[in-house]
Amino acid sequence: MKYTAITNALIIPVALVLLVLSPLLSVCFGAADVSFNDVFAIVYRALGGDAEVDAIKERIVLELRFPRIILAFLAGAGLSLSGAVLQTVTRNPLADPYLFGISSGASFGAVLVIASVGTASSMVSITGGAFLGGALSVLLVVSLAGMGVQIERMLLAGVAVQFMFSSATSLVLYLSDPQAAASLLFWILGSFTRASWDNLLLPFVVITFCLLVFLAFSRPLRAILAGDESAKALGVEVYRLRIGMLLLSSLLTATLVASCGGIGFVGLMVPHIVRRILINHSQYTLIGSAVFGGIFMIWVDVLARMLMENSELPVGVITAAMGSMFFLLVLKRRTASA
Amino acid sequence: MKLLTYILCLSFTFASFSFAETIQSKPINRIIALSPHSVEMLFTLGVGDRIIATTKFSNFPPQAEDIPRVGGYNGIQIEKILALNPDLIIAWMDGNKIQDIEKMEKLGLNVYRSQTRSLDNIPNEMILFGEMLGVQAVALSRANAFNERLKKIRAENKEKPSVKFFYQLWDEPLRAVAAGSWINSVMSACGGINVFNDPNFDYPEVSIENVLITSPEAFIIPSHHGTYTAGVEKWKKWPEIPAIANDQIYFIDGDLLHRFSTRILDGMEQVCDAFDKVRASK
Amino acid sequence: MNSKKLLTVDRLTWRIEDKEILSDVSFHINKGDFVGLIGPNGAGKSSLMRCLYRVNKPTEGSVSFDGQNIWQYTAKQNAKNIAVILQDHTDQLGLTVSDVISQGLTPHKHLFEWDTLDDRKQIQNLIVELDLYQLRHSPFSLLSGGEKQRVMLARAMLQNPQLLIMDEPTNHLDVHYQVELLQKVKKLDMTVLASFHDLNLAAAFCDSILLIDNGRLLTFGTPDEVITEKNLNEIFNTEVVVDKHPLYSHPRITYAYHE
Repeated sequence: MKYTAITNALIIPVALVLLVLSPLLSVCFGAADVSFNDVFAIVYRALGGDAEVDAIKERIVLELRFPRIILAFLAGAGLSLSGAVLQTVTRNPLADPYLFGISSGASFGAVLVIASVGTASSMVSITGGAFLGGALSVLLVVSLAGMGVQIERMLLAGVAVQFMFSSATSLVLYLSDPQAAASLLFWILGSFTRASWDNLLLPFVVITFCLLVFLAFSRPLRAILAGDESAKALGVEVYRLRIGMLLLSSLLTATLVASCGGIGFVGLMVPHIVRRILINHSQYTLIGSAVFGGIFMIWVDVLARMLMENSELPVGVITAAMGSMFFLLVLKRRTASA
Repeated sequence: MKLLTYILCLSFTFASFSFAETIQSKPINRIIALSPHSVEMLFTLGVGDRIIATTKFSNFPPQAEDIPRVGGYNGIQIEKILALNPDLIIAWMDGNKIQDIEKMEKLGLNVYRSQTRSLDNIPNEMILFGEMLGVQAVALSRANAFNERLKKIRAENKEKPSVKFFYQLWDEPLRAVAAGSWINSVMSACGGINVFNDPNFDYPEVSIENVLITSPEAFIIPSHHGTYTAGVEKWKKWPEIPAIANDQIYFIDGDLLHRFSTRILDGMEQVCDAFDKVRASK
Repeated sequence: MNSKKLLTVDRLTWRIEDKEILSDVSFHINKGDFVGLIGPNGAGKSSLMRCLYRVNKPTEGSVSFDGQNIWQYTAKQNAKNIAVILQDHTDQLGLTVSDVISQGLTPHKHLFEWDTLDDRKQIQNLIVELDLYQLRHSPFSLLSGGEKQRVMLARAMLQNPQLLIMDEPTNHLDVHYQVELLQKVKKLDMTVLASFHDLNLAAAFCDSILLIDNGRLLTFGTPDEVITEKNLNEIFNTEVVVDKHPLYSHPRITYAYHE
């Protein structure tokens, strides 16, 4: 692919346009019939203007759809960010939050709470379970692989932990009765139906915090790509950085899994693609991943609520389907260029 | 030579028939009932004492709690079943794993595949069990009683105005029972119309918005094994839904709605009561 | 000639898992010198260098830069003093040539400090100087060996250290690029320590040469002093003839290839 000055200059404005348009356009999609004019009027009225709006449409848009879109954006941004950082810090373009077992650990934690406490489990306890599960998986990876010295060990430990939690989750699923199992499946497949204004604060705060830290460390992160020895020679505390970034990614991922369930492949695909498009502005890989990941997820959620007639598809199913196509494409390109 | 062969074949056929008859008319005293509803049914027929084993969640009538368990949703312990040497195994096509059922059949056990997918099958099955278990009279009487009661309920509700309802099967994720599910026949007998009627998905996952646009007049929320899923707090925020505005939310024991036993009519009566209240509130 | 001691290695011993890789190595490098490090494979050249840029920690002895033990500096301070060019490179995961060069700024910047316009200008200048202008937006991984080394040199120059350490920098390069790289390095206002496989290159470019074998420093001196037939026969176990290079004043090594 040729990266000319024109394509570079275009990327940022295109991203900004998509960023502004996506929420406004995507909010038109849903079970109820809401047109762009309706949305425009609703937003205008919400901002203090005077407009005629249908009360129920207004409520649907403002209380159901907008929080969902924001949550989807946050999830997409956060997972992509997490993936971008993990890929950088392990110098492996196939690393992602799932690879380190964080997502499966968090899913397992949530699933365990639901299965043991049963139908009475609250959102708080499920979120707490997801956090603990995610934290446990990170602890396991670190204890198995050491303090970030050898990347291969970390990756292997991550895969092992991921398999372990996946099988534990399968076991819990297997032992539950059908209704509980269906509920558990939500955690494993992911969905944004639970979004509301009051449960957006935590993901927002965590993502913003993590983004700021990642940006602060963007230079050492770039240096680590030169190799551990070269990075050390450039003044980077390589092992500390690696572990620190892993822990921060885990925090980010666990928060998102607790809010939205396990959504896979996004953390892998988006940074991968962004790195190809924004190849000239690698210092913007982090921001680019977050922005494109968020926009991507907004539209995936549109599919989740529009593909079936008046019912929902789990988001994770759609991202998994896209993920497998993505891998096929990557494979095809590799064999072609080989 | 041909004639001899023919006679031999004929006698062999006769012999096997009588042999089979012998097998069939062998008294069935040791029954393993692999579903809660078949346990209920056997007790209704007065032969509950013949049940030697059952599955998890068989909790009605109370005596059923004492029957030993040989499995649940995740599988049946076939070795235990073999060891118990049953005369009859009542398997449940929708609830037992097909591999387990086939395995038991292959092992030569006497397996009856129960598949009650409609209300009318319940009395039919009772009569069949009556035949098998030698309690034809009781079975016939119970079956007739069931049919009478069902007919009565249907007749009472036929002319009444229909009620649009949402059946909230599960809370997180929000899942409905749709019109295609057999459970729906309970509600439709009372004149209910399910707001979710896609024939392809009997138990769709839905969002608040999906429910909102269908404007149900009543909510039916079943319990699961005795407990109700997290309450209706999140629905209180949506008075745009007629059912919420008019407080037409009905909690009904799930065991009475999700089991193919005679108690389904108890559940049905509760639903009809609920719908009557809805009609009155309009 | 400024004879300030820039790097001092004092009785350096490095052991790993009961195996002694470096034994009692002592030498110093003066500011402005171009010092070569030669020795057979497995002699400990890379291990010694790793002790100098803090990947290996000495088991005994010390390494000092500008009078202070390098382990007393922070990683960043060390990086400001010493830059390293290695022989193997990662593919830098999609970074372009400009990005790789900009890695040289890492020790000079705090968290959140972006590249200034001056930085950009400096990077541009280096790109032009090292003939990388056409490649500046290319992914680093697609470059040839010679091009990659030029990028590494640009990065080191941006890093602006006092001492440049190079671990077999000419290994994968064509002769033209070997010479070009070393010529460019020689012109820099930096003290250099480089290890060599090619003894003629060492003889041509170095002001002084360290000869090590089996983890011990055998001799340290000018090329004339170190590159002798006796030393080379013994250490490299090969027949050589050492005479003066016809074009310059430094030694020339000619190998005896036939029986």
